[in-house]
Amino acid sequence: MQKVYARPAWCMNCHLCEVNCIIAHSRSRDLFRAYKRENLRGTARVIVEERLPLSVAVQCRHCDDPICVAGCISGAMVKDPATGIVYCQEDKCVGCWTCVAGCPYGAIRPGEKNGRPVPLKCDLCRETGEPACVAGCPNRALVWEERGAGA
Amino acid sequence: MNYVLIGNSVAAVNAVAGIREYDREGSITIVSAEKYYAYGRPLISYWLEGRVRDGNMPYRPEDFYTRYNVHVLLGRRAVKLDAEIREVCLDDGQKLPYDRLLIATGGHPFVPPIAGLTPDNYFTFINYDDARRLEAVAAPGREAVILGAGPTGLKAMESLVQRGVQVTLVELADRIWAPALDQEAAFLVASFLQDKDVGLYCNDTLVNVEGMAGGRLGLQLHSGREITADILVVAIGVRPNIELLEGLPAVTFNRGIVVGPDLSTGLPGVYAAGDVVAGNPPLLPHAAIQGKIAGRNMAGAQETYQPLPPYNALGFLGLHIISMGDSAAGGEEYAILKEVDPSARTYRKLVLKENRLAGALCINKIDRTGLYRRLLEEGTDVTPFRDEGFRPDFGLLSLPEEVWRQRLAE
Repeated sequence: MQKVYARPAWCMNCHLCEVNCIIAHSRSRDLFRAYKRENLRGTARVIVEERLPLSVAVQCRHCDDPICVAGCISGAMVKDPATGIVYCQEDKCVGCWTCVAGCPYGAIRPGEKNGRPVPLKCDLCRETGEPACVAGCPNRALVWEERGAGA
Repeated sequence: MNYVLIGNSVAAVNAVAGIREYDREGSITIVSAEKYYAYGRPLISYWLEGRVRDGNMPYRPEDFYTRYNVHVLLGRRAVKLDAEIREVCLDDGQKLPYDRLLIATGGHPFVPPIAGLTPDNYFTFINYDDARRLEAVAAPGREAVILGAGPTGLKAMESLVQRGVQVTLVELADRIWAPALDQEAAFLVASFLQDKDVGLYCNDTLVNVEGMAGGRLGLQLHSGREITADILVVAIGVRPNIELLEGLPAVTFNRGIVVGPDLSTGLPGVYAAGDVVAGNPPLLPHAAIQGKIAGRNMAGAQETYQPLPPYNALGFLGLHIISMGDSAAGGEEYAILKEVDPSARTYRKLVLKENRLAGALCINKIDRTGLYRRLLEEGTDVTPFRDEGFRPDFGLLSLPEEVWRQRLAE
């Protein structure tokens, strides 16, 4: 399947992927409103890890047999059989965080939206096309591509 | 191919998906003792406190059974298995022939013999009907005693507290959830519960139940302590439902059904998955993974179930605990790394054995704990990065370069 791959050699630690992720998952799709009105600072679904000068963006790998899906007690977390995208049906999530304990990449964080639990994880911007982190990466340190089976 | 699945919970539902990956044509029949389509069992506590409604209980979308072409018999029990002619008898006399059979019958609450205990003066807490029975009586101001302060008892406690019930936990061990929590962690959790006005008696158990005026119960504890309550919940453990295979040759038991690496039972065409399997921690992820693999193998695949170390996320009244492996371990063969902040009620502990992660326990600071789980599962030597374990930015880059590069490429 087509996934986002990080190319750490090209990452300059600008964190724009996180910002663009937050905007893409906001109601307003606007940076100012997302941060100041919707209070979404810190809710990125991609995490830029730093060991300067090294930095790299980490996000869900959309596993073939995702342990977050296997462990989900409510059936909220699913893998779309057609696209392979692993995503959470947020209205079904109860915030037990078994997915957080399961994810082998640490790519799911416990979050909250309007008083409801939300697992903060990459959904490859499944409703909009090209993932916002890739679209906004100024140095192609993130690429969205098909690398074949097992990749 | 004709598949019959006994049980309709997480293991069986995942087995259906596993079968259909390899066999789109075969007939699948599910025999469900409960009269509900599959629901996530751990949701019953959320339902009881009103955070999940009936409409969100189903584990899979409404069209799951039709989409996967599954025939479901609700409210039916399998009572006899004839492995010679490959046939299952149900409680209504119906006979189901099979080519492949899955035993995914789960477990039932263990209720020890206690003087005065009768089926109508106590509750258990593992299925939807248990929650419905409790809902009818769990009114604000009532008092409940829960026998057992493990995950089931603690979740029952949470939902009752949220309904305004005054709860007291009675635990035989010297602390809350002893298999997962060490003394220090259990003390932290106990002080949290004290703040929430939840009673807790450890090193104690129930020895006598007596009916009193007004439907209340007089409860006598082993210590001699006497307490009264409106509601008694027994939550001290589950036992595998193995009745269907008992007495059959070629099947071995060790509490649960002993299975081979492919999850077969020793009887031709018969597989088992989930809480009914021997040595399986009664945990949902493990049941789901086993169910999927058993289903695939029933349909002709040759997959091996690699035993997955136990891991669990348990939250109640705003406290979150993630435990994995031997999280309560102590003793000389272990090295313990710990970071505790009692005032913030955060606790993180890594248990190392021979430089490998043997367990981890995190309370209220649970970000990225799955990274620990993978190190535990894969038995990685943590020597090169053991000092990184509690760094606030612990992540893939904490691991050796060849490891993180590989993981990013997955």
